[in-house]
Formats: sequence, structure tokens, C-alpha cells
Amino acid sequence: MELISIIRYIIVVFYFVLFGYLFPKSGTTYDLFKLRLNLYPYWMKFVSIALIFSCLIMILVIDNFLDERVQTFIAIVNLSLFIFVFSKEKYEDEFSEQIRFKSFTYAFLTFLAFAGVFGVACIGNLDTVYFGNNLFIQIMIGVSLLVSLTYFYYTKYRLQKENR
Amino acid sequence: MKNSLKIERAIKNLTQDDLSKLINVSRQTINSIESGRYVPSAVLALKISKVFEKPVNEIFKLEDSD
Repeated sequence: MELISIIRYIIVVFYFVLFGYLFPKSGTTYDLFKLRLNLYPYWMKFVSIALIFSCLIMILVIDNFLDERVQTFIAIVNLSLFIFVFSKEKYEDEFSEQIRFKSFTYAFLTFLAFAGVFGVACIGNLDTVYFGNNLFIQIMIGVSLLVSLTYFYYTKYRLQKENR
Repeated sequence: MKNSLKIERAIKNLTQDDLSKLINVSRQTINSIESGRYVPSAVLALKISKVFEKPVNEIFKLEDSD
């Protein structure tokens, strides 16, 4: 088996493990503004940053978006962004939980808007370059995660600025 | 909703940092509550009232627009 195929299997296993960990264990609460997700530990942010940078360097080195290896690296970047978004902050409280909740809402809206716009754009174009294309879906997921991250950290930055 | 958190803090001679440590939240959270940008949950409001030894509705008051 090729190394790149093994890496892909590892990514799939990681997604299953990470999703399993993230899901709330006590789903009996109706407190909708509290997600009660089992967020990953703070140190995982550093792991994801290291992964993102090393993958970006590899993508720039290979420099061919249709290459199978580049698509695998983009998948790793998405996984790393996923870890970053769902790992704890240094100080976690209900306020940061609410900002996170809002950032997820914006990410979801972005995903829907992307899917909606390109879905309409591809009507009648059966051999579409968009939805049949794995790279496009990967980028759609990546952009949604980036929107979530940007909203979360921009809000935190604005609050810190106001506090000074 | 308006609140008298800043005044209560001044009476007790507590900084935002002190209060945040007492109720296990970040300083930004206290600042956002004081400036009215964030309405705390019932749990957090009760923690705050416990620190200031006052009922919640003496610290947090409803406005006509609420």
C-alpha cells in the first residue's frame, strides 16, 4: 500500500476518534446556549498549528493542486483546523462558549451559502467541476472552519482592545 | 438589562481581575458584563450576587426595553 493511502486511512481514523471525543456525554440538558462539547485540551492547538504549517510548506513545494498528495495535505490542513477550532482556550468560561457558538453559526451559514451558490451555478452542468470535485468540497470545509476561527479570534481581539 | 457591577466592585474594593478569579471567569467577561454587552447566565449572576452578598435583582435590573 502506498504511503499516501496509509495517511488517508489515518486521517479517517483520526476524524472518527476526534468526533467521538467531542460529542457531549450528557445530552439531557436543554440549555441551548451551552454546547457542552468535550473540547480538546489547549495544547492540541500547538499540534494543529505545527501540522498546518508543515502541510502548507508541502503544498507550496509540490505546487500542483491536482496532485493526489496535495489533496491529502489539504485534508490534513482541514483536520488541523478542525482540531484548532474545537480545542479549549487558555481561559474557558460561558462567555467564550457563547462567542464560539456564534462562530459556529457563521461557519454553518458560510457552508450553506457556498453550497447554495455553487449548487445553483452547476444546474444543467452534469459533469460539473464543483460538486464532483473532492478538492472543491475540501476547500468549502476549510473556508467554513476559517470563518469560524476568524470570527472567534477577531471578537476576542476586539474585547481585549476595548479592555485596555 | 443594566447592572451595578462596577459600583458593587468599588464598594468591595475589588478589581475586575479579583472578581474574575473569585467566580472563575475571564476579565473580559467581567468587562463585557459591566459595559452591558453581555448578559450573564443565571448561574453566573448568582455567583456574582454571592460575592457581593446581595440579591441578584439588586445588582441586575430590567430596563423598559427588555
